[in-house]
Amino acid sequence: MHISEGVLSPPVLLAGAAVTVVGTAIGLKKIDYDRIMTMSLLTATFFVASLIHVPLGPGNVHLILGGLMGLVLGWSCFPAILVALFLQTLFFNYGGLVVLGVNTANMALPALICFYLCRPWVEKNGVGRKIASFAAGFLAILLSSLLMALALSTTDEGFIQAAQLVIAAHIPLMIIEGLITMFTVSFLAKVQPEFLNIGNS
Amino acid sequence: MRQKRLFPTLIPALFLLFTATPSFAHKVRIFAWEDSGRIITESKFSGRRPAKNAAITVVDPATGKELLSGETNPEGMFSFPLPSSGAKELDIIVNGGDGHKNHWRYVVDNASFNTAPPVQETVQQGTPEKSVDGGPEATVATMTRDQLSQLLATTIDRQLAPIKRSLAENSEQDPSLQDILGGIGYILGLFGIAAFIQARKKNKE
Repeated sequence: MHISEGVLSPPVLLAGAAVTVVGTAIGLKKIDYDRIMTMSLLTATFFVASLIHVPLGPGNVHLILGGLMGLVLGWSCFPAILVALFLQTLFFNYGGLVVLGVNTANMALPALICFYLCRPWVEKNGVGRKIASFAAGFLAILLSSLLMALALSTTDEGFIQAAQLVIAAHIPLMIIEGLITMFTVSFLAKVQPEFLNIGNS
Repeated sequence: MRQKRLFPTLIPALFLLFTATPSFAHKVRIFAWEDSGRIITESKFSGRRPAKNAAITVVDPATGKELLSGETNPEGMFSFPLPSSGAKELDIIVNGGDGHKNHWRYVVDNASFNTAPPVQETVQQGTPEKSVDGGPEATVATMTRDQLSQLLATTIDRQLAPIKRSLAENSEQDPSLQDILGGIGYILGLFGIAAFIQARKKNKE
């Protein structure tokens, strides 16, 4: 999911950077400092999750956990993902500093959409929570793939071709992330509801 | 109190950390070495999966001109003869097509190409001068010496190829445990600083 340096054209890089700057600014304003521990734990998890690769499908994909980030952090997922991606660039050489904005936007925007779409159901009890958290994990990857395809289509490949390639590579990951998000959310809701910032069930 | 209750949430993070130590992820890598006059490249995703049908372009970094291009086979390999342009360095670029791209700077070392003409010429020019008075016998000797040195060079080349390959492969390493722990440390530290600044602000109020 990390786009490498030197693939994208300058307008796309600028657009990605702009989205990231705005998102991070809003995210920083919205940080609830009583829950900063949650944010730092999730950032660390996101940072490490990319090292777990899923040996399925035509490509080679790794966990992202964007859906979980979005569900728990809301707007604050922007600064969290930015920090994690920046450190991945430094330590693991994934992506690059120039494409950091695009990569952050690619992963944080879908997370934010999942927050608005699925969060209301996660706050309620019952089957709805499970379905919504699965949907969040699934959707986050699907939307990220689409955004990535959109970014790639500005280079030599057309949108449809890039989208097919990227989405096909990430279908197994969508299901796996959906399941992981579902289990994590329902586990946390039982054991640690304040982590999700929801009322005790 | 709060910290005690937060502990269970650390468990998934730790679980992820320790299952992740073999550390694979998504990034394409390329490395190149030479074997008997051809340059062989191998492209892999960092989960050690070969990059199939990835586009390879070879560029002369001095002029920026594209020398040749091609596609990797199902094993992620692509080989090509040394371009005759006389480039001192080659930039071999792999593009996985899904946003992953990387390159390998290959330094052309003429001495290691036993088929390259300059090496043979120096050997043939050098030896006859020494053995001018030796007559026909000496030419036979130089012939065999030439052949022998060439034979040796090919054999050594062939035997060194796997070593050159693994040297090239190891020049780019997967993230180590130190990298991972260091990164986590940075994250916790950054958020710690944020929390500290916020706490001081609140105290002043």
